[in-house]
Amino acid sequence: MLKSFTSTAFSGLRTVSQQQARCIQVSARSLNVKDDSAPKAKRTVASSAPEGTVLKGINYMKDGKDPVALADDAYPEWLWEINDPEVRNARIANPLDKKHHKEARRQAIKGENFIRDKKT
Amino acid sequence: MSKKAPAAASSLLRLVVPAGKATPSPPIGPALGQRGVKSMDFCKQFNDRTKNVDVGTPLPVIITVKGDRTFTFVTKSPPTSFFLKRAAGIEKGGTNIGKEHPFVGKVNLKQVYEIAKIKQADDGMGHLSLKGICAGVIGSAKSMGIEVVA
Repeated sequence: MLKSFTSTAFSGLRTVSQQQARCIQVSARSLNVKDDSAPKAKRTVASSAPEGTVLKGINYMKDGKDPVALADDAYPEWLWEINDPEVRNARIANPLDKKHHKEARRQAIKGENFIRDKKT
Repeated sequence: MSKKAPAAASSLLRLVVPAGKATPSPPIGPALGQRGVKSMDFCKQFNDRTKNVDVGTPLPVIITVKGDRTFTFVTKSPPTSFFLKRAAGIEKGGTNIGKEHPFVGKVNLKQVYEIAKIKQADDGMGHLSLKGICAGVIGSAKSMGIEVVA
């Protein structure tokens, strides 16, 4: 498709269109688009380990002590989201997100395997 | 890890050894002996290097045995399952895992975060984000039947 533009008379145009085509290809591939336009909802869940709780079982050095929990806000925001099924489902539902396509592909493979196994 | 390595090349050996308690014949002796290494040498060095660690903590070790039978080794942080079992206060992970079966223990996100921080210090983790490591720890917990709560 790009080669059809190849001609010495239009060499300047060819370069530009190739660049444009490449840009379009790249942006279509980078499906890790994060939608930050919606206002971030305030975290509603409070940690089960309030500030000051000793986090048992973490320390394994003789001269060390188990770490103490900090306030919820001292931890990064992503920590409260990684175990949240709603956040994950929202990413899967969003067709601009890589996760959506990965999950769709995974389900398609499972479907094909199921049919293939059923036959044998 | 390749048992068919030619004599000139070095071979890797991966073991999990309790800190400060090396040298039983079964795990270490034959594995090292096959490569011509005296297990006592390794055990003395290992116990010396791990003298600051709580005795008995399982530590993965990667031993590189060179063609001339000298060896070097690297110690890593304990397995994630070890941390999770201690944090949840259980002895063993669950035998039946899944939606139909109850969880055998519980761990909260702050503990996951601390475990991930320890794991991040390992050599092999340099390219991973802390968020990625946390996700890995949560995955390990779920496959052991440990519930991850906020």
